[in-house]
Amino acid sequence: MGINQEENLIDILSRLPVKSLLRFNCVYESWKKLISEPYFKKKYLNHAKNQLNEMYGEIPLPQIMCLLPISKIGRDVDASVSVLKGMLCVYYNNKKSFNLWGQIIFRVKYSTWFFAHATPPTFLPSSIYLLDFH
Amino acid sequence: MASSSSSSKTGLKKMLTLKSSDGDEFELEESIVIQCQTIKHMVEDGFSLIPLQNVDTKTLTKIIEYMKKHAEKTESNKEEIKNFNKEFVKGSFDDQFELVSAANYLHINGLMDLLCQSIADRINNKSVRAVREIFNISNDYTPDEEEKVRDEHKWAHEGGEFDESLD
Repeated sequence: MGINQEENLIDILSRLPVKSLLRFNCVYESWKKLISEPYFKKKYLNHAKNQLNEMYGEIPLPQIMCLLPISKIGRDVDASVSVLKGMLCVYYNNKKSFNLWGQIIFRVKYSTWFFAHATPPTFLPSSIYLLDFH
Repeated sequence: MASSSSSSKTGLKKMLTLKSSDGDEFELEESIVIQCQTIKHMVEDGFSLIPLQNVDTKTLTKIIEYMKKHAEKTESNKEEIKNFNKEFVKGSFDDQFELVSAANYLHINGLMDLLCQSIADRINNKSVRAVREIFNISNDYTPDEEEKVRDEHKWAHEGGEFDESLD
């Protein structure tokens, strides 16, 4: 048994912020494959949920989060994206949250997004979608 | 007397022996050891000498240190446990990797969480090259391929210097 045993590796990599994870695609071809596996994404999402839980404690989580391919966010979609502990979160059609989130929210631009280190928000929007990172 | 499937309550603490892959034996109270799911199941099956063929003495000593401390966990010593955890994850990457393998094999979920999160935090800002060294991986991309993969998410490689150190 070693650390490169897939199971252990997944457990470590799935805790990384999106940016590092994508940088580490370059480490090794099999890491890149691993990171794109549906199983890995599921695990990643679970950790993301746990992080949200830790941040917000007893506050009920927003409706089910899902991984959303960036390609699905069109130029004209009214959505916002922000960074939550390195996770990318998209908020749909929610002008109110857009305003309240102020500077840490950015308009999604077609096939690209802004990235910034921001402090966590103090309230939860009704729904959170995590961007798929592929 | 009502019969129960659990062991008789004699007031004596039930002891178990763990044996490392190097053959060293460690005697511990059952109440400490059952944090570990793998051992818990063996205890339920009636074992009292538990050979751990995948865990060497050095690693097992650390694991026991963790289990003993966490068995003391109460509402009032949270800070103490937190500090213990902080110290516990300070070892070299190789040692931490050994511990992850052992924690996974033994199914100690709390320890798995602690170790994996700590390793993730430590490599978070490392360069690609440093991560290869740390994980003992040789680059299997050709320079062209690597460039291509890098270009897929250029922004992930931007934003300042990445840490080249290996600790």
